[in-house]
Amino acid sequence: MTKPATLTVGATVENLARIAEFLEKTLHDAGCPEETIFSVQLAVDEAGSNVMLYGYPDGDAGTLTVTCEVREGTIRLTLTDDGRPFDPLTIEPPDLDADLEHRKIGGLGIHFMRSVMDDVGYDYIDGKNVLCMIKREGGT
Amino acid sequence: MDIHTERRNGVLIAGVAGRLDGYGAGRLEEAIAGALQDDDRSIAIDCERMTYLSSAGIRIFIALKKRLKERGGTVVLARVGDYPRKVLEMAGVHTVILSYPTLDAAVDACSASGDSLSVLHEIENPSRVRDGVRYSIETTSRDPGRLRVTGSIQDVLFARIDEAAIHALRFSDTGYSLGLGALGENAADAMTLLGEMITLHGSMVWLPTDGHDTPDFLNAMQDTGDVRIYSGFNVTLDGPFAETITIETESDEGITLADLYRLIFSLAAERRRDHAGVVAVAIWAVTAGICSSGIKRAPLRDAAPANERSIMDPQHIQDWIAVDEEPKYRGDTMVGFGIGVNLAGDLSAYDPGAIGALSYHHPANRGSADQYLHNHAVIFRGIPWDGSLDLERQIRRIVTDGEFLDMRHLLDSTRVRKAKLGVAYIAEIVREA
Repeated sequence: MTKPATLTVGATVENLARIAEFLEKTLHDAGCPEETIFSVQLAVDEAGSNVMLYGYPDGDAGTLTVTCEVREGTIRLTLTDDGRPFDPLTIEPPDLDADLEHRKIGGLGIHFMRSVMDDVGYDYIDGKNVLCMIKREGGT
Repeated sequence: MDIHTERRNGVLIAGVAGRLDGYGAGRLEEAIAGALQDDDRSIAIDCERMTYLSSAGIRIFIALKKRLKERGGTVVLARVGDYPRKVLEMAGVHTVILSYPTLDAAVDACSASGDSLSVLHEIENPSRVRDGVRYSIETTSRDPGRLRVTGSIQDVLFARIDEAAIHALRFSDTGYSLGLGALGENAADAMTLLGEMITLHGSMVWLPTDGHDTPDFLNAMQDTGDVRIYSGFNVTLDGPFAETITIETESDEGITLADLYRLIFSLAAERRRDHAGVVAVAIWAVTAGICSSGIKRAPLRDAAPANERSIMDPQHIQDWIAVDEEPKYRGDTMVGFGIGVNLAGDLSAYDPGAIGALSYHHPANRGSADQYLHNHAVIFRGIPWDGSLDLERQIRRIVTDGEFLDMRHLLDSTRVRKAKLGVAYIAEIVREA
């Protein structure tokens, strides 16, 4: 597949399932194995949830666009939203060995994104948050 | 996304079907908040049909586990699929939130963690089981109890109250009491609103008969020393509770208030307790359904039925008494005070007039010919049950800090699942002029 697939949804958590379905179909059609599809779904879900839950603090949710491209064994995902500028890569990683009392509630999402993708990058372009994630087939 | 909740062996089970993502997590949180009852300690989350899990779901698991740990319970998972299991491992929470291959194993793990009576309590006061009720008894005082009766319930039943019959009670003199009362500027002002009332260790709650069925609340902090409760009938306990009886039932349906009093009377008879014909009882309980009745109008002489019959008479009861036999407030907490008269017991030591001044037969209390019970209770939500806590301290804490829902005159068919009872055996009933 060479042409990128694109989905634009309202940036609310009800639409997370639609994004998951879109990725399932796109990646399945491109011949990606189940495990890869799960990994990509998790990373995009976490990134999308961040935008939906924290990107629009005034309550007026905007839109989130997900672009998915598979070329030469590399999956490239781009998430674009018009919420407040926010670089998820600045979130501190959680302490995975902490006991229950000291577990921090935040930071897990970005930890998942980094764990399942090979590369995660952020930029703020023309008033939009642009998050780019890459997964190479045969990679982690 | 679909969530189904049920209980098995006293353990709350939440079955999650579909995606537990940022959206599903919110749904799960709401569903559990709605289903969690005051005596729940542990939750088993059945993940058999959960197709997806993200950090949002894990966040809910951790928050719930922290909350239930305060109740001495836990959160466990059952039948987690391969993919969600990987997510749990990636988050490093599989060692904190344990999962079990079957739902039965998960429920068993919860039951083991939520052992009902605390270990220390168990050693000091071994518990026994009778008719599915586990109970333990702790002696707290050797002093006899005494009841002070002002007015007479007969004047309530026959609507004979006038200004001369109103007693002004000092708030500080009514530690545990129940009756018919009102707060107001003066007796004439208050008497038109006379309604069901209870005082509990420094708080008074009453139901003004103004047609709104909305309780009014006063606590000791607001008492400047000159607050007066205007009452047409009141029974106050003087003296301490002789025993604390802790009971826990094995079924969600619990037992009726009538059977609870029968248990108190039969345990007293077996142990040859003195003064066990009349008992006064303070109760803290998790309910399995409150059935109630309440007087709708102040029983003043001017409003008395023309035929001079009781307001409980079949001709009049509908005008005067609101009866609600549909169980309400399941799984919520109640604290209350009540009087029980064992009609099968030895009542020879009491003045018959005094017994008559505080007891009556309520037509909605069917099948209770062996005893007269009169109980009022205040209902709260979100008070975790812990049978090892001190009863009176806990009652004070609940009425001061609890989330107040309602106040009711209880029918004997009210059911409780777990209860801690302060029982005073009454040696003397004194009528005050």
